[in-house]
Amino acid sequence: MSKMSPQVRWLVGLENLLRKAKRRLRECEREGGPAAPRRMARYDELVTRLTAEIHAVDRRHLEEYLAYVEESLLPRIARKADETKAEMLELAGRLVDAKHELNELRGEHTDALERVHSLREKLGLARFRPVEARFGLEPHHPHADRRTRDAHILVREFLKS
Amino acid sequence: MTDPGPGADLYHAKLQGADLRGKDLRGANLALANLKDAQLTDAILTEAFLFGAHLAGADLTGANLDGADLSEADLFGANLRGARAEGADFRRANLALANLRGARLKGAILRDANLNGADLVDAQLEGADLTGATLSEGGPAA
Repeated sequence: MSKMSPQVRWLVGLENLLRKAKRRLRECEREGGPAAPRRMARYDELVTRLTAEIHAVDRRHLEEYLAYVEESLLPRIARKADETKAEMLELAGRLVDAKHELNELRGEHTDALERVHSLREKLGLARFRPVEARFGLEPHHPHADRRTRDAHILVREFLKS
Repeated sequence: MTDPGPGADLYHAKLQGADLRGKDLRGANLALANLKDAQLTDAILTEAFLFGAHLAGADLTGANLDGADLSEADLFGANLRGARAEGADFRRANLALANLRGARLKGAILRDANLNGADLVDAQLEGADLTGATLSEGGPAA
């Protein structure tokens, strides 16, 4: 970071105060209330005074301040933006990986279901298929759990017989 | 400097270590004023505008700050023992290690204020807004 002269440090301080005063002005406006107009008038005046102080700073110091902003502040902000972007890209990458994993799991689930159906057919249990349809086991039926249990009991009894 | 009074314009004034004990500064504009180590015991600062004022180490014992705006002010280690600051706005102020023992802070806004190590024993905080304020232990023992 380039070394700042006391005048530029003063200017940076004024800029910070101006930013804070503007923020308070916005807060007063947003919060409203009976005292809001008086408060806003105070902050309006403060913003005006600070702006005038900044404008009154010697041109030479303004040039030095500009150099500070360009050489030190802007690269720092850009670096921070790059870091944030990299973080977001990493998160997006992780999201894509998670989606792939989910799709793989879905595929495995489908394969397993197919194997179950195939085994049922081989065991001569095809007539019980689909169990869900036979017992009215629509996926979101309120009694689906109970009916699943009942269906399993019936299948077990059939297998025993 | 002429003797400051109610409604005085002391914007960005250099008042470091000034003796302002018992002064009537109600409604004064003290925004960005340097009041570091100033003597403000029993001063009347009701509705005063103290945005960004430097009050580090200032003695505000028994001062009246009702309705004052002290947002962004630096009150590091300031003494506000027994001071009144009802409905005062201390948002984003630095009150670290400040002595607020017995201070009347009813309805005060302390949003995002730094109260680390501040002594709040017997302070009246009914209805005060402490949203986002940092308050850690480490202040003087009760």
